[in-house]
Amino acid sequence: MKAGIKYCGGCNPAYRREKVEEILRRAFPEVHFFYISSGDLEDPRRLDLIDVVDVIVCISGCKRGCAVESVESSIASRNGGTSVTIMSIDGEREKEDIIAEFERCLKS
Amino acid sequence: MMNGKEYIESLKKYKPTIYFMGRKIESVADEPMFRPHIHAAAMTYELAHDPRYEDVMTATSHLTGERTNRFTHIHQSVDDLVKKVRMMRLLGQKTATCFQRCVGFDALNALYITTYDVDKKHGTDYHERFLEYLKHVQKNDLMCVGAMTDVKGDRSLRPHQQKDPDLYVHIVERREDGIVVRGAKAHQTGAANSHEVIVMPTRALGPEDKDYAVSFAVPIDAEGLINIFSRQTNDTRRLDGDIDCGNAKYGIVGGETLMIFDDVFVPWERVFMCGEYDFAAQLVETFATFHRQNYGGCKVGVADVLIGATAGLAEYNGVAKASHIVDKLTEMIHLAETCWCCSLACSYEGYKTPSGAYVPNPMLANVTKLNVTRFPYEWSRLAQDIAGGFVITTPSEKDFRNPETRELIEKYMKGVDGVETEHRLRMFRLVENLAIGAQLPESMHGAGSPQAQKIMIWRRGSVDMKKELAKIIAGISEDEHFRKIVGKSEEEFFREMLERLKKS
Repeated sequence: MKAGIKYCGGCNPAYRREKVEEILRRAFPEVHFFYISSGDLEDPRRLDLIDVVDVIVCISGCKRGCAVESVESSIASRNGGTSVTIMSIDGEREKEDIIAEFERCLKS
Repeated sequence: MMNGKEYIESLKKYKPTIYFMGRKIESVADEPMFRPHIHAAAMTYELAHDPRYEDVMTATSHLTGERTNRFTHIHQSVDDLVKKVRMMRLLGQKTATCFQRCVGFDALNALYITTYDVDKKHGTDYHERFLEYLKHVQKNDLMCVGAMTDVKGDRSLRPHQQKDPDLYVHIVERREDGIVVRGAKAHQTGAANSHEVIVMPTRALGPEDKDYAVSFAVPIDAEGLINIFSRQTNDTRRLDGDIDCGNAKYGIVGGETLMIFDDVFVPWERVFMCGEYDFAAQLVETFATFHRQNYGGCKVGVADVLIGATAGLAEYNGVAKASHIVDKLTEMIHLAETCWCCSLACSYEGYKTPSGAYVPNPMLANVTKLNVTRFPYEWSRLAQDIAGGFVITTPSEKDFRNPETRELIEKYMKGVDGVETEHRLRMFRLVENLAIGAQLPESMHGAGSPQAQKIMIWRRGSVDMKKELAKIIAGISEDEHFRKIVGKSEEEFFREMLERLKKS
């Protein structure tokens, strides 16, 4: 299984965003995590990588949700869209809550 | 959508119980003491029909697809949040006072978001009820007063601890067809000339305060609803003519009432919270965020008029080119535009809630309002400084109209050549209205007093994150990026650097 991680720009995060990634990597060693860059989202050919991921984890530092906004707007502008599952984190969350949501996303 | 005239006519269909200065008001629309406030609210209707302003004054309802007045709209995007504050500034410029309709607007948006969340947790159907109510408001272009602030009694006690249980609005009876409520709300801006009242709790509540966790809407003329219109500084000047008020057409601040619910019946379809105390704080904070967002818009629009009046008076006084006058006017502009920056920033940093509606950034909305509890005092001080002493010693309009004193006032109140004395008098009165009157305490306490904003700012200040930033810079916590930049640990880097320095 593959999961893409997209961070927001981190201008003024209200919590330590990296914690989410650390929790997921530790809890799901069988999943291959990799980063999705802004360049990937802007280039239609590179954006095709979303067809091979099971989940995109969008990690935003605040409720403004810039990470999920950039992913959703890129997907919306893509021909044919996509059915990839998006998990959005935009604030401090309990470890168990993050793991449970990721599991739900993998199953969907 | 109604226009301004139609709005005023629409008020005649309602028969609210309102008292002022010892008398019961027969017709709100015809009451001279209320007319300036009514005109200010009417501007929110009138500009929606003007092609020069309709872009910010109207919006498309996401429920019906119909074009509606923006004051009944639920924000569907960041652009909607930005247009909201643009609308506030515009209306501040056009009325130079409070146009009152934002409170109900903010109540609609806060309830849209909160009823959705309550239903999700408790399995209730408040959101559906609220959507029907919202359609009614949009279709009929109604003005709603958002009633939040309870009279509170002893502030050190929670609602259920008060000696008199009615000092916070609460449910006194649950019936098959609805609820009966009792209590009172204070400072109800625009209540006298609204069509509807939307009630919300005023604070976070616990299980013992369950009966105080109540939100509902009733028409302004609901049986048992009594409004006592408040006095304002210099209010009876509006009976003396059109000069001494300063802003005779639109008044000063919003026209507030003490609103009493004397066993008012509310049918279930108009009840949006009934005992869900765990959502009282969310509703209050969401409403406060929307309402605090506004103040860098409306108050800045009013400040634009004050800056214009002050600059105009400086011209009439013959001091417009003095460098200290230019400097002070520049400072007034800077202060006002700083507040405008805050309103725009909290709007642009707004985000989507689970309900689909958008909310401004709460931290920045609170910063906006906290600045507005301070900066208007400074720009008003500067306006008083520039205007000079006549701002409080100008002869009355009656003496100006009296043939025995008219010529003396014309002669001795004259400013620069080419400007009529009456214009100078009018400008002094406008500055008095805007820089000395009730505008200032309204900036202080409207949308919550300063400490309310400070509590929210502290809660959302992410101080732990800031402490961690400091530890990294101070060399206490690891700086992973510094390690990547220099290719080694901080300890190694500085040890090697010192060794190199010793050798050189």
